[in-house]
Amino acid sequence: MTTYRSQVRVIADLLRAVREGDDEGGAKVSVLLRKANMSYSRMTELTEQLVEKGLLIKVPVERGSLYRLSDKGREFLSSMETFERFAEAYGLRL
Amino acid sequence: MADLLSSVLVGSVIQAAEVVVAAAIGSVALKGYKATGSPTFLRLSVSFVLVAAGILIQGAAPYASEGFAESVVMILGSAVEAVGYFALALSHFFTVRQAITAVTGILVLAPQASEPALASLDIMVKAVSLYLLLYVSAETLIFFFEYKRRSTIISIIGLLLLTAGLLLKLFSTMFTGYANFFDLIKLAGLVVLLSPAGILLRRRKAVTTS
Repeated sequence: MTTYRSQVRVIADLLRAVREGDDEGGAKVSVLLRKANMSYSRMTELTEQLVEKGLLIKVPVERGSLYRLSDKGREFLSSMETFERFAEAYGLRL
Repeated sequence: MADLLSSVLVGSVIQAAEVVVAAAIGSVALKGYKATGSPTFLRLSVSFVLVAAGILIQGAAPYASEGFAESVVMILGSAVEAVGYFALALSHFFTVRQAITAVTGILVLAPQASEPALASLDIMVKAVSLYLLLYVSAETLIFFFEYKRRSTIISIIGLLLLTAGLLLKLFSTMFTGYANFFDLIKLAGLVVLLSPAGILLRRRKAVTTS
């Protein structure tokens, strides 16, 4: 069954994918594409927006760039996950 | 006369408690909307605020002048509450089983046969609420089987208590004197539905202690 993902869930999935890559100094775009399950153009647009809002930090490296969660992004993701559990208690998805 | 007055007073207190609890759920959902921007929370918040408003209006009915005005206030309150359950139903994705529609159809028709027109309209609106609540309960149950979230069981219990309270109130003309007890069941359902807010309180505690 195809499940529709809301914009909020897409952002949550992307931030979670970035968090998983944090231990290795940052998440590569290719890893994010696979884990967050979205197209390249959609992800580029979204990561730019999240960097602008201060939720992600873009770290330039030799070939491309890595993404890391900022403190604000970490707090936002934690808050979102709490409210996600709250919504699930009502049988709802974000 | 004194018995009737104290019964109305007790009923008003229970309904006031229902309004507070439903508004509290709406307020927590609104916080969720502000924190995440998710329309799911906006619908949840609108839904419970409407339920609270509907109960509040219905609670005012016994204080309106007896007869037509009382019936109109009661129908208005029931309608607002039904719109609240409709907003709650909108928040869910999955389709409901046909069997539920059939069972509710019988329940809608059964108490109407011998009622005067206005009372019948009120029962019809309440039956719509009942249908919507059954729909939401069924979807929540499907969600539970799909995602296996234990916290969802609490909501299912709350929704079933709310549904039972509403269903029994539909037949309260047959069980006069039990209306407050049926309202208590409804209140219990709302209190159980408020309990998932504990997830947010636990987080706040964890943030404060860390």
